[in-house]
Amino acid sequence: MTKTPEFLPIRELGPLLRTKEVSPVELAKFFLDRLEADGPKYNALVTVTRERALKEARKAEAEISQGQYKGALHGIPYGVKDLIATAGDIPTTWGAVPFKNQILDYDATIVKKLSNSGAVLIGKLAMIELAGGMGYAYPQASATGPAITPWGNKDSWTGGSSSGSGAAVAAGLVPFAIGSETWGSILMPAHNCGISGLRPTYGRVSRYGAMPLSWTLDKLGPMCLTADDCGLVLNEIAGRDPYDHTTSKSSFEYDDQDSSGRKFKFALLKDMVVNGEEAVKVNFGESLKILEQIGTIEEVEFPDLPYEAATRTILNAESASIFEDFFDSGQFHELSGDISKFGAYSRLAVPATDYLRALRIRDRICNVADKLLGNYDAIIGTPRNQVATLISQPIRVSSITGLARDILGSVGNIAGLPSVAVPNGFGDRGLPTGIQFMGNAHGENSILAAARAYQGITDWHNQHPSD
Amino acid sequence: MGEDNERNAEIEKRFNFLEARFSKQLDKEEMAEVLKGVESTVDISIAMRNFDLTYKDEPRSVFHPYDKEEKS
Repeated sequence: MTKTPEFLPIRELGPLLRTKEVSPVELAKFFLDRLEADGPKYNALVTVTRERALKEARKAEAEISQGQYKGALHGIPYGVKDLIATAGDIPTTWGAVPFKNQILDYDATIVKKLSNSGAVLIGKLAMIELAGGMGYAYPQASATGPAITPWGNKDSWTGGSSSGSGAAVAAGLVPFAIGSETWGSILMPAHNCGISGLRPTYGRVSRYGAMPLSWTLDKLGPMCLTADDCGLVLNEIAGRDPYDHTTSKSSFEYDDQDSSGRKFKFALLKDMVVNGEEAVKVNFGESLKILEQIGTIEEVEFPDLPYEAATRTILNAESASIFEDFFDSGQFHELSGDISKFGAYSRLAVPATDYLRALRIRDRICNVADKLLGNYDAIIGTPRNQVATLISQPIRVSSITGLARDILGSVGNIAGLPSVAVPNGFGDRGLPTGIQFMGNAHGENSILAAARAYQGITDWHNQHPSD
Repeated sequence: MGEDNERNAEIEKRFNFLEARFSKQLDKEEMAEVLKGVESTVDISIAMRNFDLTYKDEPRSVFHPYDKEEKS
């Protein structure tokens, strides 16, 4: 092996394992040591699962040496956001002090699937407490402290709530990680950490064994070095699960054929970056020039609907029901967030008619999105209109106005649409910026093809932070 | 003015409900944050109610009747 493996994508690590140039045990030890040494530096780590990892790596090694190669993830180490259940006396803390000793004695379906694919679980990764579902004003709202993006001066936030997943992939501590998104929690850390993150279609990946925050908004998805790697991981984790009745009956097979030469049809949301930071605007403009080389771009506008209000109401009502006993228990005080967290109690007074109104508006939004996006391979936009904030800053502090509007984020999540975010440059303080490709429901192959084509003619995904 | 009164009445109603339930658990400062949360959720409700729906608009529901095959 000529290169060290910390920044090799799965696409390149796989053949090294298959041809026995690298052994799964050797690779697991390499990443275990990195994760253990550098994970705490970024507040990215909750638990190193060394014993389990070495057991899984030895199994993979034996299988590969007997010629039983299982595919792209066989022998590849990975980490999961610590809201995903793992068996074997490994805590599942949900990122929150009141749950720091919680042991769930089973593997989530996603972990089982990855295990069946021969992947090697090396750690549980940090997150904003309770996936940020109680609201938070500072990155400190995590049992492991504010997670730090490996870029810039090591003083800026990873984004949340899949914070540790973002930092660990960006810093080369794991080849890939699993994150979760209810509203922004994969795309935002992918943007702040300069990596590729895929939010799959709602129901594409089983939620069984993942902490629920909002039953009808939660999605699990991969966070990787490249969009192509996201497809490789999705191929293994997607599928119907009898333990999660919301999983889709439509099957998924990753189509990884060369997308160069393909002409894409992109939609561009009107005024997407009008309120963005200057570097975000410049980088997005450059991205558009690149995308014009591989397709057409048409400006579109969503009709005026209460996208954010409906999404927020669903999130508020469902999370209130899920955590009602927790509110009653008084343990809320043990959370790490600042005093503004108590605002979450207000969700317990959202009327049922409002929740149902939001679900009725959701139906309208699904139809609007289907009609609009059906004509395109993807709608393009930015995951965020600013680079990562300092960890000492409130997360919503910004000189930019209008950030409260998040049409792509709210439409994408309330309608359960897939989106992949990839890096597209750098802004203030040497921090990364990104671009997202959002598609129609079950349109992962289209958006991944577009993101792969973009990464085929750009180099941002090959740039990595220094130690 | 009428709209403001309605908004304030709804905020008061929701807050009173929460105060009755949680005032033993939360101090004055914490209850003030609850009030801010109530103001925000009421504004969200108003934004939704300002959008007209018809009798044809059904909720995109998650309910499915039990399916034995699904569990097999």
